[in-house]
Amino acid sequence: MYNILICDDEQDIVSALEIYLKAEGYRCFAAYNGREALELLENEEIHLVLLDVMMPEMDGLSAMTAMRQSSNVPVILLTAKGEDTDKILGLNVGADDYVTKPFNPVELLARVRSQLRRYMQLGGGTKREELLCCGGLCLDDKRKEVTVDGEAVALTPTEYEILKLLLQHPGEVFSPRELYRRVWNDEPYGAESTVAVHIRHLREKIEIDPAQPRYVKAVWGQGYKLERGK
Amino acid sequence: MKKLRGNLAVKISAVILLCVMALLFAASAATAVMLGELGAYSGGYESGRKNMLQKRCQQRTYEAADRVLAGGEKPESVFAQENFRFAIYDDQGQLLYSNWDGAAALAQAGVQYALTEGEPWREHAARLQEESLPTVTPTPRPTAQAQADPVATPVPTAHILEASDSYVIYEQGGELHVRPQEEMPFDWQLRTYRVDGYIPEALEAEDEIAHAVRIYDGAYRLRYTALVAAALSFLLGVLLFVFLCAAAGHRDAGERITPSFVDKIPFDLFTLLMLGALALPLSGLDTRFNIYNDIAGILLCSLLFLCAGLLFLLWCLSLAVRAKLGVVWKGCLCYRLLRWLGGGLRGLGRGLAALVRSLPLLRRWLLILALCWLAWLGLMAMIGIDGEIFFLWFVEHLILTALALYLLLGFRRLRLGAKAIAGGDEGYIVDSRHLVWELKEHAEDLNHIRDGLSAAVAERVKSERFRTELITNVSHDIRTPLTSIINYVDLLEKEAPENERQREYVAVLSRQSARLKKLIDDLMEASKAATGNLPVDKQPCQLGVLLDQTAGEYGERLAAAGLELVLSKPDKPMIILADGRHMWRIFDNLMLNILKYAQPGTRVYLDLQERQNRAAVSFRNISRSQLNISGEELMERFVRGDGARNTEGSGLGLSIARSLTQLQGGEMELTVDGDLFKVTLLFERQ
Repeated sequence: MYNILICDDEQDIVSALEIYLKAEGYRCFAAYNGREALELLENEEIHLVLLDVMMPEMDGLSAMTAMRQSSNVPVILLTAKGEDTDKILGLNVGADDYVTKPFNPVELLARVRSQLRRYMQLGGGTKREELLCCGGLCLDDKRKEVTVDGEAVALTPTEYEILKLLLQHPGEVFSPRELYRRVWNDEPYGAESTVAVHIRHLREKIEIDPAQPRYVKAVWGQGYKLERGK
Repeated sequence: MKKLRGNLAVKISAVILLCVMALLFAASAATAVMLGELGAYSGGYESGRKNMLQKRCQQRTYEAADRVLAGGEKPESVFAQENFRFAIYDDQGQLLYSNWDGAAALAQAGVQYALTEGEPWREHAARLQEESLPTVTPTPRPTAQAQADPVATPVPTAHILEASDSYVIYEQGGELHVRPQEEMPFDWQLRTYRVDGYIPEALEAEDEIAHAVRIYDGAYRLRYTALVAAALSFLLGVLLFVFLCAAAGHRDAGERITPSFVDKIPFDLFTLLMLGALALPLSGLDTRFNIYNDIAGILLCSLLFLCAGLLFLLWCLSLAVRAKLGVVWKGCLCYRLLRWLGGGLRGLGRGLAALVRSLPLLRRWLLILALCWLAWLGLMAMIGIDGEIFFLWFVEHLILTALALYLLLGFRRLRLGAKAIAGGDEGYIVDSRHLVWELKEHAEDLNHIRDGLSAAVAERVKSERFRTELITNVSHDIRTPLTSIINYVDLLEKEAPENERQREYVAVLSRQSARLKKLIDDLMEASKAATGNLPVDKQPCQLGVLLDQTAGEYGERLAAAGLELVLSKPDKPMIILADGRHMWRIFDNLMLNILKYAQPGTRVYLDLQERQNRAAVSFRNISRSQLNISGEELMERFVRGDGARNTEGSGLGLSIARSLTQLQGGEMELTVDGDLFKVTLLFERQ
């Protein structure tokens, strides 16, 4: 049983989120501005915070800055602006993930699950050295296993090899040609778009929203890279 | 005929034949003319022969008189070995000398030979008549000068050199004088001798006369043949000439005219050379050779004429070639010279005009004013006006010039102001001080225009900003309630209403709210892209890689929609400077567009090419529904090719793509050709 703090000035949204989360078996606490959220966080044991950015009295970003001084509880930002600058600012201030309003309930729940699993596992489990990890994404080369937030994912050998290469060089951009050479051990001869197809399949398996990937990102016009984890 | 005119051997034969014809014509025509002159055709053999001999006799008589009377030769030695006899009588009719026996003569001629009494023939005349011819000692006729100067200077002896009926030529004191007889300063006398010449009937000596008679006999026998030969050779010669002219320039059976090196010589130069070459031998001909008697002379002469004729023929043929090519005048040296001169003059004129045009307005008019002043001053210097009138005129022109300069400066100020305002300088104020009349009004009007313009620009910037803010705020404000709507509709759906109709209604709500969400997202993006309110992080972007990535992302979805993707790109990398995320948005929008609107079962072409040093990516597909709309209209916001607007999508995809392309300095072209839908993106290559 995890406790989730929902903070939004719009009561209807809070209620809707409560319904969804309760249906999944979480306990919910509601707050309608930043100050209330901080109070609740002090008094209750909270495992995850859903935080709206634009709120009266104290906005989400200030609230989160305050939170981060005492707690490393995962925070998912609910942003209505959907602007890149807001997202980046939120992530820099210490948010773990963000969802743009209007959000898809299924996607939100997936992100909540993902964040909770990571938070609880990383807190409890010991980190093994031979694991190639990036955020909630881990690759165990001995067992040939890939887990996302602790959940095993079935990959084809090619997808596995691509992911392994990217995980070995986080942040490095690989052109499709280079990827093909390294993974297939062959010259592409016009087969570069095959790489893109495999990347897309890989993304569909490990990302919550393949159009907004967290890990395997496309650098358009250059190639692909693994987003370096925080 | 066409084959013949291209054949070189035929042409050479024709030339040779033409030469032969020319010679034949010359010979036969000369014979005929000679016979005609002698009257052989009209009067018969005897008459012609007589005329011929008469002519010779006349010639000889003159020659004899000349040699004996003037030259002082002994009469016995003159024409001693020839068929010619002569007798000399003095002016009294007294026989001085004769070797004529009075027998029958073939021809007879008499010559009056006037001799003045003078030095050269005195001895000789004296020898003839055994009496002395006294030297004239002039006794001056009284003149005005003689009266003025009574002391008569000794008059030198005069020698009469020649005298005709009207003029007398004489030598006196080393000088040669020509005077009319009436004006002769002294008296003089002329003696007239008569010389009779005869050709005896028996031509005993083998001389030129006997020779001429033989030639005449031969010519007479051929008198008709010569006529016919002359006519035929003339006719044939003309035909050959015409043929050669027609064939000139043809190298083969075709119609093509090929000029030879001769035809490249400037025509006027060629003509001059030809005339010179013709004149040179002709001028020296008479004097150098005795063309009537000497066989070698005749041969040489014929040869010279032949050469001259060949040269003339060459000239004619060249003229024919040039006429066919239409370059008679253009091939002339003077034409080129004139053209060159004309070109030079034109260039000079153009240069001057360009110079004047390139001058700024003020300097151009200053130049014109200066020229006017020069002209005025020059005129006055010429007419020679001075004093007060000149001063008044000068002052008048000075005032006019000052006025013109003032107007010019004012106009320049207006011009600069208008230029600045047209260039968008909103802060420019046209200085209307020190301007008068219409110039001042114009300056103020310009300022008014500028005021209106800057107000309009400010208004537009403001409204643009306001609109962007409005869209951003509205979309934000819509999102919050929309979030609730989507969530509760989803919850409603999860409740799974038992009533079928309720389920249907909830499905509609769900679909439409999702569409509303998409619409708001696109609207905001379109607004930001159109106003350039987006950060652009330009990085080197390989279009080939982007194409591969696009193919990877969309390949399976296209295949699922029954579309085949055909990719083509050059081997070398095409790199542009662009923001990768924006580039992907453009490609994404265009591919989505294709996915939505392409006719299933057709191919989709994605090409990367280089076009005028720019990278061009083109997307081509066959539209599913008929497009009754232009490419330009399709790029407008909210416009969709299908009139019904019932497909998903906001109608902003192409508009966003174009705005993002322009934002990165690219260009997007959209063409609709029947059902072919084509989008081309153009970016500057790195």
